[in-house]
Amino acid sequence: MQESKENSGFFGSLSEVKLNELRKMIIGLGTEDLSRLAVLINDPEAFSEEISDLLPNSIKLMLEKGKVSYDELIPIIETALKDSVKRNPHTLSDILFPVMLPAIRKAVADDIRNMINSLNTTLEHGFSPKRMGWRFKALFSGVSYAEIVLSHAYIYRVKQVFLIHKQTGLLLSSVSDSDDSVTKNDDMVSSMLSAIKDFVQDSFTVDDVNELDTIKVGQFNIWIEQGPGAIIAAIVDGDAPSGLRILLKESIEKIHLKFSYHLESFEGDISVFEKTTPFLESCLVSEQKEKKKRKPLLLIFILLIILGFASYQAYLSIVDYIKFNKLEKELGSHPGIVITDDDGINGKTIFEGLRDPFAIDPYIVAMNYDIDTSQVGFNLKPYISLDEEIILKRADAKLSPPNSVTLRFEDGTLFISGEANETWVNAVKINYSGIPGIMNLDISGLNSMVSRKVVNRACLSIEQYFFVFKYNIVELSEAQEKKFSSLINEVNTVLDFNFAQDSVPVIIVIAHTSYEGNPEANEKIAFDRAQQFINLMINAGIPMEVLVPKTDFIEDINEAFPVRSVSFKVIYSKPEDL
Amino acid sequence: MIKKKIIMLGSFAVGKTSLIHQFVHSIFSEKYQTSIGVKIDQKIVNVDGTEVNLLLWDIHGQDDYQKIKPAYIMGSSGCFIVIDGTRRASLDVGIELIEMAQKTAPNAAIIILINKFDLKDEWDITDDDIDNLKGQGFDVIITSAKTNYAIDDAFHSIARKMINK
Repeated sequence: MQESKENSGFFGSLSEVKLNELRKMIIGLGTEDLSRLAVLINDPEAFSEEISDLLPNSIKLMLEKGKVSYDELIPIIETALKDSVKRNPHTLSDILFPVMLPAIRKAVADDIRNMINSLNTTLEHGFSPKRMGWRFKALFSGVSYAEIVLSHAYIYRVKQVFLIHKQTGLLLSSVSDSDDSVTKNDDMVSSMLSAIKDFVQDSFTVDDVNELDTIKVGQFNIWIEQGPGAIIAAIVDGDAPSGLRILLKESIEKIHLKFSYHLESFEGDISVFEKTTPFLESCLVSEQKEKKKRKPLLLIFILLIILGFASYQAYLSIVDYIKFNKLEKELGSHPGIVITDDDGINGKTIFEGLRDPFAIDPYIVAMNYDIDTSQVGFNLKPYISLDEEIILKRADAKLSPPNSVTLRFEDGTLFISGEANETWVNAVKINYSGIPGIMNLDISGLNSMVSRKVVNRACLSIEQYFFVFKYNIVELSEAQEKKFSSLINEVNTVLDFNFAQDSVPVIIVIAHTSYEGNPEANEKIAFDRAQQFINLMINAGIPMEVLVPKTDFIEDINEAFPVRSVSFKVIYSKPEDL
Repeated sequence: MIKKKIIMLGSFAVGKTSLIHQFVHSIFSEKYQTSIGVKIDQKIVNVDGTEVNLLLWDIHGQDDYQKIKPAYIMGSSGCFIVIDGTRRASLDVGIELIEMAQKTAPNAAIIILINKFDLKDEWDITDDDIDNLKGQGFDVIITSAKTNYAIDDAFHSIARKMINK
């Protein structure tokens, strides 16, 4: 206490001012500073107030220096938020209300607008044949109609995605789906986009939540999604679905979550934003439409022409095939022609086989089918046909019959009928056997035209003959036998020729006698003599039925035939009269 | 690579677009300036071994009829205030625009370009005016878009200033 007093006395001798100076020299703080520190320590509210100015900078520095990371802060904040919601959900909802309401309103408005667009698109094609086809496809494939519609209605491709610093308009990062960039200069286009966005925002009286979100440039749509520090702009080729908007929103949110500090403190160094590439690349989506197959009209036209030409050629080929088939059949049916093969050479059908020279000319047959020599050829080796028709033709050619003669061939026999002269008949008799196929000759139906005179002459000649016999003896002498033989020839000549169908020659054998003595006996003897002579003629081959015996009494001595002679007379009589 | 947004501000017909024409190759038509009020060009410069990709926002000249949209200024790292040496009024507009730029983009490096040096004889702006601007801490570069005078220097200067800021 004494010491205290002494001290007090020592320090008390010093002025307050000097003490202050001394204190400041020792600890660097004056009375005011110490008083302020005392207040801060003793008053939590004042201390909090003081720290509130320092804390943001401290956190910022800690983040910069890596002493603390967002990943470390996130669980703390999340836990705090969860606890807050558990304790009193209204607190957080009251805090978020001013933020959430416009955001919800905007999201709902976006969805309604997208729905209307989608509905418009659907209605536009709703009753088209294409849509009906989709419905059938859905019915049979098991895939829902909505999925099929989506796969066809939204055909798009995100060509490029830009991440633009919102405040400066500088391009932070960009990705493209190919090496070919849609834009001329990404940096300038990004800044210009930012300028346009600002221009629109400034020029129209709109709420802060209603920002420029789409720019249409020709076939491209630029979809813009804005965050507090950056803008994501996607250049879309075609009509993208609303899902892309959600994707862009998610990407910009993720980028802000990871790079919010860098966005806020951006000074122009874009290297850190290279790490945003995966987020941007996730926006490079596309939906490939089933490629609409253009109808290749020209190709179809050409194919139709080719098809038509081919069909025509096929038709011609079929017609030709039928024609040639018929020709082949007909050729085969013609006697004297045998077709063994056919072959196509240089567009020409060549028939091979055999042909009798007397067969029909195959080119004539071909002409009946409108087939000319440019289309068909025949390589037919000659042969001798034994076909009846060909034999008959050959006989006709060989024998050269007169018009009055008809030839007929049957079973190896050549039948000749009609009228022909003896010379020709004789020639036929000689030549017929040389004709292949003819085994026999039948000329029974043939009349000799030239024999009429011969027959007449023969008749007269026969009537000139007479044979004188001794009493009651009919026997030919040696001299008479030659005469008899000549007679027989003459008779045969007459018998061989028929003048008419209704009459036949009859040889009347007349035995001459006289009235001297007993006429009746003479007549009987004469008749016997005629009969005996007839027997001789029969023996010589003369048919019995054409021989008629007759007796004749000589009354005048100057008559041509002597007594006991036999003469002849030729008459023509109907067969029934014989 | 470093990317920077640079804005060109100035009264109408002070030569902003001509200055850019001398410096870059454009892909956008100038009609955008009259339609949306801005045209974007690009130039990559090398500053002390560092490549800097400059995105130049050529903003339509401010006059009584057309006001510059603050959104175009926001986020810029550099700002050229272009003044026509032959028109004193453009200096007044330039000073207004400086204030606007400082307010909208407080961190932007500002360089004042007094253009049309080729018409020096006709200048309304005096050396005192220039000294006055310099006295306020602004970098002032005298340029001529017509003769391509000091344009390259101007862009390299602002690039360097932005990087070193």
